[in-house]
Amino acid sequence: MNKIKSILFVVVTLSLVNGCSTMKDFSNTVKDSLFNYEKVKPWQRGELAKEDMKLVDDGMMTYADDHIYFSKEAATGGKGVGGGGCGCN
Amino acid sequence: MKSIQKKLALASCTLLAHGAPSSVIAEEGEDWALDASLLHYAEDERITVNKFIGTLNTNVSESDKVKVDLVFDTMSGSTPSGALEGAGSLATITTPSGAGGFSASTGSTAVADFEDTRLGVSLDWEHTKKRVHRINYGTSISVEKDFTSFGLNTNYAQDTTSRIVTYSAGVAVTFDSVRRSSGGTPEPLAEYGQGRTLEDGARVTWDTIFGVTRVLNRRTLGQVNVSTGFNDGYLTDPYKLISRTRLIDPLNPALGFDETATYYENRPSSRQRSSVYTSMAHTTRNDNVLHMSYRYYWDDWDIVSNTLDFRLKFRYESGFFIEPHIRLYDQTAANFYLFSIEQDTYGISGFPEYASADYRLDEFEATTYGVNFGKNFPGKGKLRIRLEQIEWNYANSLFDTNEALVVQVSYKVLFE
Repeated sequence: MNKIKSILFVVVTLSLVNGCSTMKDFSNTVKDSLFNYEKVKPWQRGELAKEDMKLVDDGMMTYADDHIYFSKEAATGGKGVGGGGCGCN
Repeated sequence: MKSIQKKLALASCTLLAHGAPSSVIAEEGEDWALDASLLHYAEDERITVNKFIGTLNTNVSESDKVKVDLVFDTMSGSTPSGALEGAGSLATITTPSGAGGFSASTGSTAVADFEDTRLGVSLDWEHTKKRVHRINYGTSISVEKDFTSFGLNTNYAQDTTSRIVTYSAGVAVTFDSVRRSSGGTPEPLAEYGQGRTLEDGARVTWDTIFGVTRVLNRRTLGQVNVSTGFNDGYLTDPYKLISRTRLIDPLNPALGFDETATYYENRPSSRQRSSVYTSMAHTTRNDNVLHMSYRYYWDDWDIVSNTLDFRLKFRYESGFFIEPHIRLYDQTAANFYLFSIEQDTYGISGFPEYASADYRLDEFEATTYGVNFGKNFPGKGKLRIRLEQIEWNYANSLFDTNEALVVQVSYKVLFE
């Protein structure tokens, strides 16, 4: 288990460092995502229509996470309503 | 030409379906999409879960979609019961902060062995009207040896004329039946192994949600949801226990406690929950995709929680992707959470009105970190693999840490 933890930690760290390789990349991402509002025309929405841009982009992962965290944490919900419950231990 | 028109129409629906909670999502213009997943969840020397999830989406008409979900779980292992080491043993327990490394002996009540299976099925139908109104009806049923759940839900989403903003609302009701695997539920706060066996516990859960999703710019979507929920009925866990303890030396608490008895827990019969959830998806200038979300949660059991989730997906021209993931969670303890019923506070036979030593109601922090990777096969399907580690650190519970490994393999296939 410790070996897997170490590998995961290194992969996550390296990936995030790579994703924000310069402060300019990081500041561009913050500026573009949070402080750049525009009235987007229909023909400008090509990027938004991609599957990766869905707010829930992987239903299988979300479904499994909902079960895991519902069974281990007291706080639930927020993303939506519905779905089957469980008598989790 | 018809195929192109259909794909364009579905692409528009896909964009605007982001704001619809639990909505059936169009699948890249294909008539059918089958998504199947296998998950292995393993805690360190505790619970193991193997899960199969299957989802089938289909467009039954130009304006109607149907989704069927099937889930099958096998669960086994042991879980902390809330008790210390066992009534009658008069085991000496150190204070909570010194409880790390405690190992329960065989036959102890501190951990409870269990084995169960779960079968769940849900069905969703979504109808689109005039391209800007979507209504979704859903039902679900879930069955275990000691638990049965039946739920109904409906969600409505409406886009503005400019289709920049989507407003959504949803309501769900769930009816649960809870029992021990041997049948019935124990009498609350009765001594372990004694007391009456009561009828199965029943509870009703209502949930409502209101949301706004907005196109912030040509590379960013944002969403805010406000949710509230209410549980009414049997909210106690029929397996959980709590011990009565006395200080070995009241003048020197560091010497620890003696456990003198063990009881079944007791929780309030209602719970009011609320949360505010925000999320965002953003494509960066170098074509990576960032997903971030934050949830603030509070309820009338005095549990307050923060959840922050962060994923950054790196996409490559070959269709390969890799996505590191970090999730941070914390919560305060429920107002009736107790490490034990202390004899020095409640006397030899006195009780608080409600008491639970369930570690999930304790104050704790949790961290999830891991990576998702896979490959997209345009027009055919998508392979995803994820490897994650979850770590919990509890403030008061007897077992003050826990960790789990999550491995999930999913494959989605599209066909006409």
